[in-house]
Amino acid sequence: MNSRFTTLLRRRTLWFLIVLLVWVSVLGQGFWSVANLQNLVVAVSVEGVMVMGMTIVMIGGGFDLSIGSVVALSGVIVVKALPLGKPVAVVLALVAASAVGLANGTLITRLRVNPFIATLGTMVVVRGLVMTYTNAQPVPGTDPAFMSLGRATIFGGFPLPGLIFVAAFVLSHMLLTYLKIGREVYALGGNEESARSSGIATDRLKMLSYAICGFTAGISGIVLAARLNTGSPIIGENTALNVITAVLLGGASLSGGVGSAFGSLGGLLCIGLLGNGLNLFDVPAYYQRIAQGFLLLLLVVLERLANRSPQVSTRTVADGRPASGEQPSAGAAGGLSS
Amino acid sequence: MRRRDPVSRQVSRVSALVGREWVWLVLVAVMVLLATTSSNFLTTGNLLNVLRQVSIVGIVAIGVVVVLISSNFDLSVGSILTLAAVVSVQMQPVDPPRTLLAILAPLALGCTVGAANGLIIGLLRANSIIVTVGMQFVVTGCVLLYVAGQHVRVDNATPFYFAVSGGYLFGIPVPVYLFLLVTTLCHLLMTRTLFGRYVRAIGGNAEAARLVGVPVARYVLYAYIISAAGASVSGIILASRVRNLDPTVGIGYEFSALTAVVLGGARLSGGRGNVLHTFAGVLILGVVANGMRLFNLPFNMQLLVQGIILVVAVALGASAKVDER
Amino acid sequence: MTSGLGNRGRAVVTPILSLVNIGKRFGGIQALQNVSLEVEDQEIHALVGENGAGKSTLIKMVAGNLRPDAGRILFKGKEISWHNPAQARAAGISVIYQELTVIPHMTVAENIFLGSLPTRGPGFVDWPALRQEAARTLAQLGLTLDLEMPAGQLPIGLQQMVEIAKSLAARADLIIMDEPTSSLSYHEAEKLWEVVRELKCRGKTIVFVTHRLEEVFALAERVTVLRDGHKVDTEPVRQLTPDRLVNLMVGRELHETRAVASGAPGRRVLEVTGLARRGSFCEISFVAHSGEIVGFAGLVGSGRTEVVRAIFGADRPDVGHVMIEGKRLEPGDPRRAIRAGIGFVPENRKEQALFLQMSVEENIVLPGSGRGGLRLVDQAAELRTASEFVNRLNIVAASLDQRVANLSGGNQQKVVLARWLAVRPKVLIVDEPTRGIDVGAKAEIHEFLRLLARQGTAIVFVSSELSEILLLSDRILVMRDGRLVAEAAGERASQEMVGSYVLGL
Repeated sequence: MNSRFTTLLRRRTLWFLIVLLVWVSVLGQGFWSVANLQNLVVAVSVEGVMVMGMTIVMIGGGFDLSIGSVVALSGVIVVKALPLGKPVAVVLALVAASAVGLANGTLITRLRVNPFIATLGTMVVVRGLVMTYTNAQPVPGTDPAFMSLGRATIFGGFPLPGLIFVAAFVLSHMLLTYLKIGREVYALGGNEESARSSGIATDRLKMLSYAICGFTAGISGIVLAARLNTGSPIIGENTALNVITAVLLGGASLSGGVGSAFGSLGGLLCIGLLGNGLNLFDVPAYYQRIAQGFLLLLLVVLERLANRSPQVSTRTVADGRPASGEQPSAGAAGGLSS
Repeated sequence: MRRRDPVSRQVSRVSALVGREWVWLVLVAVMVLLATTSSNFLTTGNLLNVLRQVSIVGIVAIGVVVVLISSNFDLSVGSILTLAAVVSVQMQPVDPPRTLLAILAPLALGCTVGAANGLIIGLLRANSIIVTVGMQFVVTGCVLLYVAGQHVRVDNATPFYFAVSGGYLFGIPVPVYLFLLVTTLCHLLMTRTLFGRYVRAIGGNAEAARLVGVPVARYVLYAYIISAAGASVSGIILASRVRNLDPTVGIGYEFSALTAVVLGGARLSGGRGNVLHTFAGVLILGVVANGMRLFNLPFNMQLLVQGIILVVAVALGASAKVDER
Repeated sequence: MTSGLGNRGRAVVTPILSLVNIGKRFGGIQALQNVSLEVEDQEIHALVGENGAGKSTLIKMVAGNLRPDAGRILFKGKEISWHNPAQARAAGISVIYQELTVIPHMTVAENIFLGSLPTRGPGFVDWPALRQEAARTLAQLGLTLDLEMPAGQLPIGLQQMVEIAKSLAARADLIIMDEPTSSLSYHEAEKLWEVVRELKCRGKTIVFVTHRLEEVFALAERVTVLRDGHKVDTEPVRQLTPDRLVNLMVGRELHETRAVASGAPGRRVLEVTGLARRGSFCEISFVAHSGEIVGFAGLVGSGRTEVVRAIFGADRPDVGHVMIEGKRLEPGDPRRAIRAGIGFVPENRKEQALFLQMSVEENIVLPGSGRGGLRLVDQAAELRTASEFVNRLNIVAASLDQRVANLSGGNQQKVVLARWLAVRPKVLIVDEPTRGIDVGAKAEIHEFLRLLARQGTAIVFVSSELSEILLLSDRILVMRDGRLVAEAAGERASQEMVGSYVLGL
């Protein structure tokens, strides 16, 4: 395979983003309208905050399926607690969300449960709790001012949720790139044993990452509840998969050790632009789902075609061979052995 | 070189057996608990009901565990089930030929989707979670598009069609037979045939399997077709029972199936799983759901209880596995 | 023995590490019993023993991963009792394990200071300081590396250097290395030995575990032998001979000699013509006859593994053909190769050959032509086959159902061999037959390969141990930089001669 094509494939998410952006902004009627941009920002932001939290978890080699349920949980709690005052309600909801994250962390670190299963379990339990508590009925908001949280705009039009997302993005990027603890998350995901032997407090790191993930889901839940002025017990059914998809699109891997805030942002924008574009073209919602699915499949296929030869690997010393024992000649696709 | 006293060897042998087959113990324990606390539990009618209820999820779960053994996931089974159910009803089985169509068409379509999954994942060694999720989106979208979001129904379906879900043979509901049949076939397949060994080898170490002559892509394809077939059969049964379908009917089946599989002790990595244990896991889920109904627990609480069971079972199983040496 | 001032001006009078009557039990197994040993300060001390002798357990206790059930450990004269590796590390002990522990996607600099990145302000990484320190640490080893390169892209030899740099950065006084050169070529191993000697000059104490006896004699000052959880002896190396050392390890006389050539080679079984793969090797042509053992010598990275993988079809060559008994073999398909009668024992048994969670029996009977998936498994026949080979190869396992993951390296390798023997191949390709395997099992495997050759199989093997090449081969092929540069008859070959071809002198 032509090496230039391969390099192109490696940057596929970026290219997709550019293509999507061009397509939507040029051909889309009303893309640049204030209303549409606001919608886009809100949609991306609400999911984006969670994407940042999930990025941290996944770089550390983990997985969190429970965020959808946490979104519902925090939405319900914040609305129910509104009579206690907005700040108290928000704090309560965030505490609950983080508590779920800590529960995940405990299951995974103390009880050594597989993250997939552990978070699947909390997902079902939390959803069950919320449904039981609300009797499957949405909880109407009691404070109209509450909606301001979700619907306010600043700087003449930039939705508040967007600001929250920008903050989350900046914080995540700084954490992952510049802070020691962020680098340790990469180590955790890259080779947990090795990280632990080097003195990194791996269990505590994991707990922290899951708590952050839960926290971000809490934020999103509050924002959503504010926008709808309702605590809905049934929202968030598909959230986890959507968010994980965005993170994976952004270059993270299920085994951990790779990924970045910027990459996840790219993945998030791809999905967001696609959805927005389809809305603009008045494509019925069903087509959107199909398009999203196709995009995913396409991106996966391209990723596999781009990465035919394994790149970086850890091998055991005694039973292994060098990751790349020879200097590969330029442009030799598949020149690296095994 | 290694010194082991005979007593500790015996003890570890017994504990290994218990460690492997704990799921049956849990099943028995739960049943005993329910039998002693509710007089309605141990009746034939009730037990048959339980079996019939779980058959649909059960068939899906068996398919899912086959894929899991090959170290892959199939998160599209819910959408395949929906597809099969909808297509089955849309065939309007009001006369024998259409009834046949209402059974064959969903199977064919479902298996095609499974084959698509299997080809992408097997040939390209793609990540099975993303691929099957992507496929799930595509299939769900297509189904919703096809029925324009409306319910689908068939009135005056043939008695045979009814019988697929509501019929009885020697006093046992037909779906139960189907469930038992699928379980038996897959169990034999996975434990007694080369097919099963190849799938397990692929799940254990796909590269080593390739170097030993196993046609990896081909068997991954087969595994996904089996999973899709299971989901399709379940969809047909569901269609036969309900006959007035909400096109979102399959949502959540992949997670229920996965719960049953996990209850059955399957490992999510390294491809270890056991068809019979999954069967037991399905039964546990069914018995628990039944118990909750008997005690008139509100539906939402049932969901909660199921989640708790999953977490507890997995936590216990996980700590037991640490000693599995 | 007391040591005087080290390079750092430290006066030390006690051994840096003392183990006194150490015992450790795992369930029903006594892994270590009554083991006492002392490591002198700034000494290079070797630790040897067969697999299962207790070396790993010992190391884990010194490293803080395990705690002894009995006995005491003294480090720098003080009794210690660590709860986790971090404490041991902080005290000045660093372990470089067999399993590579670099974080592949992180940079070299970050790997060196893993867990102890220099910081500035509230937790921000001090990148300039990191780069400076990393460069300085590497310089102590005589190396300059691209600090920003992902560590996983380095050749294994350099990855190990990064590991050693990590120990230096952690200010370790005692560095323990577990089989440091088992994956390195001669050249890289010798470089590592130089580094070890340099570390000693800088005041470090080195303890290393090895199966390569020549390493003990080349590098160590004293050696401790463990056997069956007991310490057999600690002796200065200059008072030992290789035979005596093996005797101590194994408890019996064991030395290998070159087998007498068994007469004229048979017919041509394998013909390789003009095989090439861009970036790996080119113009490889040779033949192998029935009953012959052909050895591929060369440095790691010379392309030998790539060649044999291409012959088997694990990778696809670009040009060239392979013929088995005169019939052309379609390249790139392991299934076809197996059907044509080739067997292949890959280099990395854990990752490429073994199904760790499956039983010994299943690992042995697995190879298939891929046909007949629905065929019922013939359990009786398989049991017979598996038992036969377990006996023939003397595989030590609790039962045929035991999971292969729990076997020692030597037994695991035997299982892989058994699998191919069971299909009676015409050609058996073996890549590094005895890597990471103890002396006893090594000799058994060699003997078995010879037996197999006598029965008519052509054996093509790759090895980075010159002694193994010389011991086993009827014919030696030397590869360098992807080409065949020399061919020699096994009997007439000498270490110097082959070595010079390998290194290109």
